[in-house]
Amino acid sequence: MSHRRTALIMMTGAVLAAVFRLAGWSVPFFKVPFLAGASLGWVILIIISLMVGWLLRKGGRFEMNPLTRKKVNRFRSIRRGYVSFLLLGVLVFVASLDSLLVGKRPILMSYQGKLTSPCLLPPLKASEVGESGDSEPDFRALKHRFAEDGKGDWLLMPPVPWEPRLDADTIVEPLVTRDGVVYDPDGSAKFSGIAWTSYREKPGQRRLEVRYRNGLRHGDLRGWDLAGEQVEKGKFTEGQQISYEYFGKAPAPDLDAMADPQLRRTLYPPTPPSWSARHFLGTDSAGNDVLAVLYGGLQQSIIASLLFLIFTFIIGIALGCSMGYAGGWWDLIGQRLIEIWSNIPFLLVVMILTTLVRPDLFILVAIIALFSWMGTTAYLRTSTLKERERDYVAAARLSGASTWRVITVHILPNVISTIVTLFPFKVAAIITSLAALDFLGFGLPPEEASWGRLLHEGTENFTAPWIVSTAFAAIVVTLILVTFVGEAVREAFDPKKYTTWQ
Amino acid sequence: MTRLIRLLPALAVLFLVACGRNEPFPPYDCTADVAAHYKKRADFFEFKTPADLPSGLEWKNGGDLPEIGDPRAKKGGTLHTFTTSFPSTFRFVGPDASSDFRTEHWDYIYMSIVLRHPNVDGWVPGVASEWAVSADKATIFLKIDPEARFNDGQPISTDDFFMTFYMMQSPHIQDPWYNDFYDKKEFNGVTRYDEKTFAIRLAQPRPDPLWYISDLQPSPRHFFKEFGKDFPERYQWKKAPGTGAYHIYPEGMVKGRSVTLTRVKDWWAKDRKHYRYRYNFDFIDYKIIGSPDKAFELFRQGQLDIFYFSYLNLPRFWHDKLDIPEFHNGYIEKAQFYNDYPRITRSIWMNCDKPGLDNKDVRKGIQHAMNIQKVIDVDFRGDVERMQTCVPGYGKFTPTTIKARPFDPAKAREYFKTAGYTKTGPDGILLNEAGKRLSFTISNPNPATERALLRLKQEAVPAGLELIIETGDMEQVFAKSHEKQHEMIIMGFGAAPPYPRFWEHFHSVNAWKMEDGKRKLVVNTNNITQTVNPEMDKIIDQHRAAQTEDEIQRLSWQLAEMVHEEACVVPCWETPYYRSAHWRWLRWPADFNVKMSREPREYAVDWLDEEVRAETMKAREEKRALPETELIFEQYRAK
Repeated sequence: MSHRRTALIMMTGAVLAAVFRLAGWSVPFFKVPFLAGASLGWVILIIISLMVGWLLRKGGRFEMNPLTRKKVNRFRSIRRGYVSFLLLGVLVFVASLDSLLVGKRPILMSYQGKLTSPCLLPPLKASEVGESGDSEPDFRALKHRFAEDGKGDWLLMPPVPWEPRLDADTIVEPLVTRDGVVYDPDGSAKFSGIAWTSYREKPGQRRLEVRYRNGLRHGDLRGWDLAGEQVEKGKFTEGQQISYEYFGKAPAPDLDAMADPQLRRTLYPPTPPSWSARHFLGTDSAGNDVLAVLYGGLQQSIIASLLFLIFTFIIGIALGCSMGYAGGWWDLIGQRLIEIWSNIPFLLVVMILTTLVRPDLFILVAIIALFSWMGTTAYLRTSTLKERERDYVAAARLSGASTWRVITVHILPNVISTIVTLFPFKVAAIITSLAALDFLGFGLPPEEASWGRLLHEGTENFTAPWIVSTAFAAIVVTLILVTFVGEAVREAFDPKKYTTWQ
Repeated sequence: MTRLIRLLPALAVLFLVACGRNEPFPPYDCTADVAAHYKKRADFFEFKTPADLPSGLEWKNGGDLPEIGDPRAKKGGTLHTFTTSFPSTFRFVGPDASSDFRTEHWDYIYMSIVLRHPNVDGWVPGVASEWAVSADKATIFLKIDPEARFNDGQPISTDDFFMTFYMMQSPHIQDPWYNDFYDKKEFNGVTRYDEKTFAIRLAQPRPDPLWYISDLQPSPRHFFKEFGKDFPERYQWKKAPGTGAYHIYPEGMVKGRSVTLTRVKDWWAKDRKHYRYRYNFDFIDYKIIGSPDKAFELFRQGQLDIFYFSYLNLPRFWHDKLDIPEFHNGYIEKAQFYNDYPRITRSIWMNCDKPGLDNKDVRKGIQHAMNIQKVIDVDFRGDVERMQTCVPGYGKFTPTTIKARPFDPAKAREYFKTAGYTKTGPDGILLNEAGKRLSFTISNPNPATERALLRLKQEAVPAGLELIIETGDMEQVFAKSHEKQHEMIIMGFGAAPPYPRFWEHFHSVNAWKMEDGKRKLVVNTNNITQTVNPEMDKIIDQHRAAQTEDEIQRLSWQLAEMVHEEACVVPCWETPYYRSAHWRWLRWPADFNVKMSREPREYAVDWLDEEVRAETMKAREEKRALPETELIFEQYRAK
């Protein structure tokens, strides 16, 4: 691909990101630069523009070094690693679809003949879609209303109609009553639990709340008036009323006339996977959709991996190359620093630091990177040290190349195999570190979707196996894919194609 | 090098000294310090003779009040239970002393001077066998039971109570709160009449002064003889001889593993009327189990006899984890007991000093933006009740006229609009003209509350309010609120009878003081809302000085109303009961427990029945089901 074309694609992306940002749109992929805050987003866009300028000035084509091409071909030939790589690519693509795939706002909505896309555009007010209030409407409820009204309004929800964060669902199901006996919503088994009715004009206000055992009233009854004042209480045993007391003002029958007689039950989280409730993998103990949380966790992991690679390799390359190339005191001090730094119990220090500052993903990854750059640095130092003594470096220096030029143009391309080989292992490291911190409760803010937190909840609720199993599966599958890629890269970049053990 | 060689013997000596010294604390005798202190504070510590006792005192002994516990109770056996961490000290005062385990080995075990009868209105004897109250209701005269002994056999005398005051006033305990409390804040002084007779003078008259002295404990002088500067370290792992039925002997402290309470042989009060059916186990064995989930599994296996504490208030334990064959088959019993005791004031407290929260409309809006009811309905499955006032569970002193503001996003938005938050940001959060977001941080000391807060956060968005949840280490979060640096904090204060307290939480002296004409923050007080209201101050002062219960009731209602109007406290939820899950061989009185208990084991009325154990084990072996038992005791339930 020519540099010109690359530059054009990058520029289009940057311009679109800026335009969407200014218009207040939230478009998947293009909002990525702004995830860690507005100012940082603009800085990233400026960096991209500078790179565009550099590429345009440079011109020409991107040519792969024949040796590198050979390595890439060899990587492709390792099927397991290559397929894992492609699968990871698919995962990254899926993760970048964001609100088109997972979210509480519809992809498309037609209201009174007007077509909009609430998941991309700035938030709507409930009053704009025929409801009252300034807050955002509940689109899932709206979908039902549209269907009931039959006025031709419609909306298309994403396949997973739940937000990965702060979107706990409350599932309410109508109960079936036959011959005075109450059954579960599907009518199969007799109902045991708390059933309630509510007022017609104020569905949020309960009228009665009664405990049932095997389809009959058994236990407490409590009743409220429309204002939410408790007005009655009673007790039942196997359907027989044992006691009853009314202490409200208005006579009780009036209240019943105002109430919807349909008995309902609240399904308490965690709820098992259900196709009808659109919780394909169930809910966690707060009522959040597990699939949506997994998806949010995947996004977090990908962004964290990218940030982590950038952080550790900037530090690693800068320190490692300079130590290896310059040697002497600088190298000695650097090595001792690495030794000391590696002996700090990393997880413990990160825990202490995260209790002091309230971390977002950016800060958290930065803190972790602060304690993870030593390995990369050590490897790069060794590689640079090795390369420094080669003839081509001596030749470059003799022909008058500056230190900067020798390192960036001659040495770095030759140590790239070390860097690339480290990539997958760094990714695995950050994913496990993040999960571990969240598992222990020292990671991201509690409302953020995270695999570690989900895993922790799962271990607390073994009675809800869908939580622990899915979180476990997500982490394991991702790590296996990453490890396969890592193994394949290592093998592809290994200069010895065949090794004979003696 | 030579210097190093010369140093070697010195190092060796040091090493040997360090190894050989089993007792790192030099002997000390504080008798002279104590005498000097009494002399210096002669106004506080008075020494008189029995002839000086005022005449006309009406001595009482509460002998006609009913017994506590069940005559069927059998003595003996070992109760197996657990606690989540090994206590950091066995002292009852000083650094780290107020940990959870202190209640288990100290507060629930010791004998009060006089005991408030937990079921009826009245006082029964404790360490004191007789007592009298002066006519002005500010002085209490006490006669120590002639047989009263510490559980190492030493008799209890007046001087041991004096010793308590000496210790509590001493800086060596490193606890300024106690220093203050046991000095002029609550007490005017103590008077010794003879070996067994003394009087306590309160700082001000009280309608029923016995409430203010009942928990006072004698401190064994022979044990605290070495009380000095190094008190916290010296007494860190020494369990002081107490007045109660249990003691922790050295073999009962297995560091990191377990603590065993052993019943004192021939405890002096074992046949006393109000104690004879209580404290029934020979041993109480607390295993240290860090995770309550793991402890539950051990309980399920039968290795622990009882599972209680607040974990059972979580639906996860009560409804899900206990939905097991052991319960269905009746081997494990569930009990829910409605008690009558001031509730923990679990609320969200707003710091009125912070920008934004200094506006009453914002505070009222926040009240309406908190969907507490949904937390109760979903996260607690309707098991707890909405708290309505800031003084819940005080019987007639809790006003019935006040209702907490209900969740109503539209109303919240109206209040926010009045306060100037008129614009809406892209994420639905309101902004004011200056562009400041309507966003506040809630500090949360308890990870178990986090889920409820996340729900509140989600539900507050429609009202245009953003809540940032900051869960942290308990000590750290409390320190922040003590320094008044928080915006909001969710927490509860444990309350105690007899009357609601307003001064600590709402009086301006606990918020600000004037120094050199400048307002200065008063830190380390419980006025974490920084409420300053001159009108309220006046009524709080009247409330503190009130002499009759009717007046206290009237003023309490009035004050609760004013707090409601200030809108700086969002009352959350209260639990009007406690729960217990236990194997059926752990037996309880027919009415389960006493009215004023806070936990199943507080008054130690339970006992083990070996016959029932054998029967249960047999049924379990034969896989035979016994009747499922879920007991609910509502005799003391309000309304």
